[in-house]
Amino acid sequence: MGKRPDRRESFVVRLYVADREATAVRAIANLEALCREFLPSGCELEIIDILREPQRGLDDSIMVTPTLIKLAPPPVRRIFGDLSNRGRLLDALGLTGLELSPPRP
Amino acid sequence: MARKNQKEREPRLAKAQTGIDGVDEITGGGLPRGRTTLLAGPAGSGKTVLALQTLVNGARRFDEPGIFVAFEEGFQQVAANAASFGWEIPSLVQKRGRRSPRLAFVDGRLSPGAVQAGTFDLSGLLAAVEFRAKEIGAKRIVFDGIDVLLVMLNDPRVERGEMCRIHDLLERAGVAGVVTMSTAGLEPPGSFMLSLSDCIIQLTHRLAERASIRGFRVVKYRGSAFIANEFPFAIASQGIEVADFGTRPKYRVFTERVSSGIPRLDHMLAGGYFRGSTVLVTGMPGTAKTTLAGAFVAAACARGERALYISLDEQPAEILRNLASVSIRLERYVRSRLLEIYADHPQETSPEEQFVRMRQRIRAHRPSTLVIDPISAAIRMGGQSTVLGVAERLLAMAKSEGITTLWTSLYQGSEEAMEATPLHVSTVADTWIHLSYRAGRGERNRSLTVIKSRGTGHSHQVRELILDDRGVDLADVYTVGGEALMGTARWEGERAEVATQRDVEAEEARKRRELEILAAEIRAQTEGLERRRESLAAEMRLLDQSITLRERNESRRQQEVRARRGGEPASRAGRRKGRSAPTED
Repeated sequence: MGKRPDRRESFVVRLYVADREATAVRAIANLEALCREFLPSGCELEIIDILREPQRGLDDSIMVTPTLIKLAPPPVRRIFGDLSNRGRLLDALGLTGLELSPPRP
Repeated sequence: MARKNQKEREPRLAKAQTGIDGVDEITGGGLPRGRTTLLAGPAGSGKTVLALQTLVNGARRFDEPGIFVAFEEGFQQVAANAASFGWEIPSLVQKRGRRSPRLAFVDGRLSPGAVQAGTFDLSGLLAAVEFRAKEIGAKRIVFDGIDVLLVMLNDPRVERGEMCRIHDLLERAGVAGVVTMSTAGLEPPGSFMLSLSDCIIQLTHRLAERASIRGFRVVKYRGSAFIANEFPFAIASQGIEVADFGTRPKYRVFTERVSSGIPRLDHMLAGGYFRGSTVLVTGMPGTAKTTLAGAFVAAACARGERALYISLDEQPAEILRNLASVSIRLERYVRSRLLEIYADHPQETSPEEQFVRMRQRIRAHRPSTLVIDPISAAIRMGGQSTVLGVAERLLAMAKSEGITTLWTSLYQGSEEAMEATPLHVSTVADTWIHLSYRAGRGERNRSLTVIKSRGTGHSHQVRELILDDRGVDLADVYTVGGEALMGTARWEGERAEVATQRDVEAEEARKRRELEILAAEIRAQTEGLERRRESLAAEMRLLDQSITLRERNESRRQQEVRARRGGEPASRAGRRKGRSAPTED
């Protein structure tokens, strides 16, 4: 893996999933892999099971799962799906240009 | 066992009343609980209004909280649309002290700017809906604009899966579920939803002769009877109203007469119009149709009865002024609120909307007497068949509520072609009065003919209608050589009447004798036929007796033959056989 510019700001994301559905498992795995590769300084990740905490889903207007909300650094972004499309994910998280390895399918 | 289950299940199919006029009647009580109802139709066909109205009615009238899940519009938009029908969504979604709100709104739209990265499902939304449903004790849930969702999912397999989950959720929650879907027809991608839904309602919207025609049709309703016809409906000021639901209203039949307001006309009609009946007044422009209507209303108000005058061309002030010129004074009744004059403008709205408005007026004012003047104005907008349908329903409604209705219709054609003019709805009318002009001898006089009057031995004679500042009256007219005489000619004719009176009486007596003879002849024929029938019956009885006798003899003979062949010695049988054979033949 190549060298990355230092990301000073803390990276805060919140991931809404439904129980242990296949999409949920994949989304968590994809997100963790991304954090390892691109955010070595670590990221603050909160995983919320919408079936257990429906009120939180309502508060955040979560319609589909999985939904990832990037709370910091600004701007706040929402990404939905199992995060298997890495190109789009990096783009949405503002991490494009940092990517040196070819995207995984 | 299966049949028993079926039997048990059917009456148990619980339904949620929509509280919408017509819809509950057509669906036999409302939408199914624990099941999914699909509202399908093109954009602008009223799906959201219908769904929202079902929710609002549930919340306000039936104490059934509901949830509105919007895929297409946000809360502000939905609330604004609802407010235009007088539905206060913001107050319904608020908590009432410690009690939960009666309505909850769930925004099912994806946040703008959200990025898709991979596959997903609706678990989030469904969890939120289910959570809210439990929280407020929802009995009704609407998913509005599922087509938007389907486009977003963009994968037939995922679509089916998600629709199944919505369906399951509605079933599990035991709520009356409504899913609206915008469709050009009933075709993919919604086809799976069609088979999944237990009840399908199709809304249509088309233009006919520049008037908008909305249609409501129940396509399918599992486990329930429903009326399958398409019904016209209107989106009125208070939401959807299905104007007619096809069931024939039962109405009281009155024998009481109400005055037409013109004593001589009452006399012609053997006492006046029947209460609760329908009176049609046709005529050319200026033949005093409105005057006849005004006299009728004045008579009703004079009796202390409430009346509603719906004018489709003139303004109330004009009507009052014109009627006052022939001594029909209605201002005092308008002031005392006994009479309401309501002017509508047919060219601005569709016949359906007009119908709904008129119905609202009738319900609000509760008249015993109703005038619509002139119904022909409605034809300026909308197809003739539509106007006719609306007119018929309006009359049916008036009849079912015991309202005596008089409506006028402009008629310009010849009298011969009149019967064929559909707008007159002459078959619906119980009494049909035609007004016309008769010109001759330098005068032009108004004439009145009672063309038909059900249940009344009315006069078919033409009468002259006299209007002056003392009021309205009728005068007899006299025919000379087949021509009706009026005005001055009538006065001359009056003197000749005495002379012809005897001739008339003689003619009547002759006619009566003729009929008596005919009746006697028929009586004689009838008696002859009766005698013939009696003799035929006697003949048949004789025939039956002889048949019975012969059958009895025959069976006795057969018994004898069997006895001889079977039970006795051959020699003896042979001997006796030989002896008895000739007699048997």
